Amino acid sequence: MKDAVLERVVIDDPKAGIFRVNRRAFTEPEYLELEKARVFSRCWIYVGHESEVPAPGDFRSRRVAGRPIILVRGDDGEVRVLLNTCTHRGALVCRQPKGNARTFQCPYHAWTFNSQGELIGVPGESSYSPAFDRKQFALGRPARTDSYRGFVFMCLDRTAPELSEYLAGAVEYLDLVCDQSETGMRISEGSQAYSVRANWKLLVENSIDGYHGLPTHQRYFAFLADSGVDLRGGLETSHQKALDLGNGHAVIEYLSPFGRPIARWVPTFGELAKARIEEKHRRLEERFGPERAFRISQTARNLLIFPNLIINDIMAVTVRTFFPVTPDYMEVNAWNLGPAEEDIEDSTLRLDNFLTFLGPGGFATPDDVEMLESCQRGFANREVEWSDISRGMTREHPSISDELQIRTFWRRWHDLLVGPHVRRSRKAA
Amino acid sequence: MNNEVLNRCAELLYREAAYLDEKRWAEWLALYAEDAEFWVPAWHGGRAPTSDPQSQLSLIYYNNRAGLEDRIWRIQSGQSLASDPLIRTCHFITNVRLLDATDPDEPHVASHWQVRIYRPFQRRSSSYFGFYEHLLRFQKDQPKIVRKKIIVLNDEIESVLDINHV
Ligand code: FES
Ligand SMILES: [Fe+2]
Repeated sequence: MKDAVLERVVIDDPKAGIFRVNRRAFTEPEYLELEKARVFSRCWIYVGHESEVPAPGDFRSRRVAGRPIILVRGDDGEVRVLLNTCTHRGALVCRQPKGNARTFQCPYHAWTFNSQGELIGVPGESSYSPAFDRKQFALGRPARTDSYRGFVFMCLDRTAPELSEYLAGAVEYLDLVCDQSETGMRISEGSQAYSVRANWKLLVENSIDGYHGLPTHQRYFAFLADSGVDLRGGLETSHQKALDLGNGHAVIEYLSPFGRPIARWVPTFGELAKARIEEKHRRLEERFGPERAFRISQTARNLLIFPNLIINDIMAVTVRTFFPVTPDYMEVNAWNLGPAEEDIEDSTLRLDNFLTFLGPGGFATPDDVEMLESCQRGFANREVEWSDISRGMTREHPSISDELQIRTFWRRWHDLLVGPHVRRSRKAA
Repeated sequence: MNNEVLNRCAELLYREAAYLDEKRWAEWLALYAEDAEFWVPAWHGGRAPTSDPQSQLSLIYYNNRAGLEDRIWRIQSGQSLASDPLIRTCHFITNVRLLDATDPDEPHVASHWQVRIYRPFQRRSSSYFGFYEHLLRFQKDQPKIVRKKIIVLNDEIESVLDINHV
C-alpha cells in the first residue's frame, strides 16, 4: 500500500476539530495484513491471567493474536508462554485446552518437552547425526513475556519497551480493578466465546463508547430504572472523565449507574446483601481512605489496553479480548474477574450482574453486536467513505460521551501502521 | 407405566418448543414454575461445561422465573436491537428418555435438540445443538418445568444467544 494512501486513512486536525477514519480500514484485507505485522506483532498482547494456572504444571492452551500458545506454570512456579508448535515438524504439542502436566508430548512422533519448553525426549535419538542438539529444539517463546498484577502479556517484538513502560497510564486503572481484592483477583472457570461479523476495531470503539449507552441499550436502562436503580446520576455527571493513557490505551470513568459487588449496594441486590456490601465498603475505606475507596467502589470504568484487551469494571468485571480472522469477522473471548476471596453469595451476585448485562446471552452485549454488524453491513456503501470521530474534539475536558478515548486508539493505530519513516517526513513537512 | 410417563414428558417438551418457535411467549412462560431454574452453562477449558452457576461463568442463568419474564419483556418490547422479531427458529427434539421417574409426577428427562435459526435480514441460517435436561412437575392439570439445563455443544456463539435459539 502506498504511504500516501496509508497516511490519509485517518484525518486528524485538532485545531479545526476534524477527525475522520476512512472506512477502508474496516473492510480491506491489506489493512488486516498490516495490522498483523505492525500492530499485533509489535504490541504487548494479553495472554491470560495467572489465576488460570495456579499450581505448578497447570496449563491453558489457546489462540492469542491468531497464534496457538500454551500458558503454563513451570515446576519452578514461573508462568511462561510457549509457542504451541512442535520444533520437529510442526504439530501442536498440546491439544488439551487446559490441564496439569509435567511434560508435553507431541502426538505425531512423540518428542517430549518439559513445562519450561525444553526438549527432553526424542524416540530413536541415535538415528540423528552428532550435529543434532536438543538444546536447539526447545519450544519457541514469544520475544518477551511479562505480567502486571496477574495479567500476563506477550510481545513478539524484541525491541518493544518493557511491559510497565508500555502500559503507561493504564497501570493506575488496572490498580483500581485489582485493589478490589485483598488477596488477588481471579478469573472464574468458564469463558464465553462468540464471533461477530464485524471488523475488530468496531468492538474496540464500542467497548469504550459512552455515547451509545442510552440509545443502544434503552431496554436495559429501562429495565434498570424499573427495578429501582436510580439513573438520575446518569452518565453525565461531574465524576466522569475520558482519558488518553498513553500508547493507545484509554479509559472512561464515571459515577456508576449500576450496583457493584465491590461495593455499591442497589435495591436489586436485596436487603440481605446490604450489610455485606456496606462492610466491603468499610474495609475499602480502612485500606485506602475514603477518597480512593469511593473511587474504587462507586465509579465504573471501561478500560482499553491497546490494541485488543478490554477490562470493563462496571456491574461486574469482564476481561475481553478479540482478534480478527478476516476484515469483517472476529472471534471474541470474555471472562469474569472477581476477588479470589469472594464467597458463594458474593460470587452469585457478581455472576448474576455479569450475565444480565454482558456476554452473547446478556441484555446488552447482543445489542452492541447487532450494531457492530450493522455498521459493517453499512460499509458496503463505498461511496460513503468516512466515519466521523470528532465528538468533543475542541473541548478542554471531553466527557465520556465524547470520542476522545476512541481517537486515542485510532491515533496509535495510525502511528503504528504508517511507520516511523512516514511519521518522520510528516514532522519535517 | 413408564411409557405413559415418557409420553407425557415428550409431549411437554414438544409443546415448549412449539411455543418458542411460534413466539407464543406468554404460554411459554406459563410452562415454568415460579422458582424455575434456567441454565445454559459456558464451557471451561473446552472440555466440559461449567458445573456450578454460582461460582463459574455461564452463558445464561436464572434461578427463578422472574429472569425469564425480563427476557420476554425485552423481546416483546420491540426495542431491543438484538431481539430481531424477524428471526425464525425451528426446534427439533429427539432421543427423549427418562433419567429418573421414581416419582412419576416429578420426572427428570433427558433429550437431544437442534435449533435451526434463520435471520432473514442477513439471509443467513445457522444452528445450535446439544442436550437438554428437564425436571418436570405434573400437578393437577398444569404441568410445569422446574429446571431446564441446556448444554450447547457448538458453544462458539454466533453473535447472540437468546432463550429461543437453544
Ligand atoms: S511433529 Fe512433533 S514429534 Fe514430529
Ligand atoms: Fe454497549
